[in-house]
Amino acid sequence: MTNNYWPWWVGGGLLAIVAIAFPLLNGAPLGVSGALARLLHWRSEKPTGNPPTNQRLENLLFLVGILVGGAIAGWVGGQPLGSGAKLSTEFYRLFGSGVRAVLALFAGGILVGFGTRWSGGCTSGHGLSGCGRLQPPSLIATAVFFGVAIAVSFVLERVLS
Amino acid sequence: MKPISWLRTLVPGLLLGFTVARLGFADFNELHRMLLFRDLRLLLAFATAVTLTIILFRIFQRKLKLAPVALHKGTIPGAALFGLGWAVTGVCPGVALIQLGQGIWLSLATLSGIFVGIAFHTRFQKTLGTAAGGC
Repeated sequence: MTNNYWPWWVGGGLLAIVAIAFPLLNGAPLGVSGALARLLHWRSEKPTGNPPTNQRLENLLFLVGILVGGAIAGWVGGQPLGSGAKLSTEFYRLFGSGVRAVLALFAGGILVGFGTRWSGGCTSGHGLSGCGRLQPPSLIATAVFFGVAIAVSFVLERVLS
Repeated sequence: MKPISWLRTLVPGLLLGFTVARLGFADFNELHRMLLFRDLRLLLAFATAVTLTIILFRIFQRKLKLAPVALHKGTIPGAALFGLGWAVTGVCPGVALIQLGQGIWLSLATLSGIFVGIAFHTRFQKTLGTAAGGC
């Protein structure tokens, strides 16, 4: 896939529109990790205590929208569904392929799922929405996950490459 | 203003998925280069998004009555664990869905891990303590 990604100001502007449109339309802050938790615990009435988006169909459609939006973007960007899409080259360089890649992704995924829920937000909930509302816990959490991710990336380059 | 209820979440979801993917946030190479400060494009995009969101929340603050985000004992260690997982997988929760939408089947491994992590947190929520608000 060629790197024909958007310039920063286009994407930054649209992300801000999503961050404000979601609460204006739903009365609840934007947040993907919370929506995933509500999907997983769809049987319980109030799994994470965020009533306005607790409607199951709407919660599911938000997540389906992200998935389909990604699919459309892949198609527009010259990587349509079924074209044998792979993860990017740098990932395979660092972690290898096959079982090793699956294990790294699964273990890392556990950290992402557990960490975002324990922290109460992810890149959208804390990073965009929380920071956009200048909420101190979100500003702290965003600084921490960015800081740790930067440090870990430098360590990965030293140790694995 | 009351649009058809399911469009209220579907449309922001579509726009979020499309934008994050077209920015390159769902591409491990791009994210890894950002985290190593080799390419500042994504950092600039994120900073722009946050700055504009601050301004937009100022404009619409009368219409919005959102509960404040509470600081609790998981805020910092949880974010640290997320940062570690983010750097390894290149995936934040939304990106796992985007990659699946792009037909990257390996993202099923990441997504399964995410659901296991969420379930683990729910199981031990009382001990761990977490904000009631869900984002």
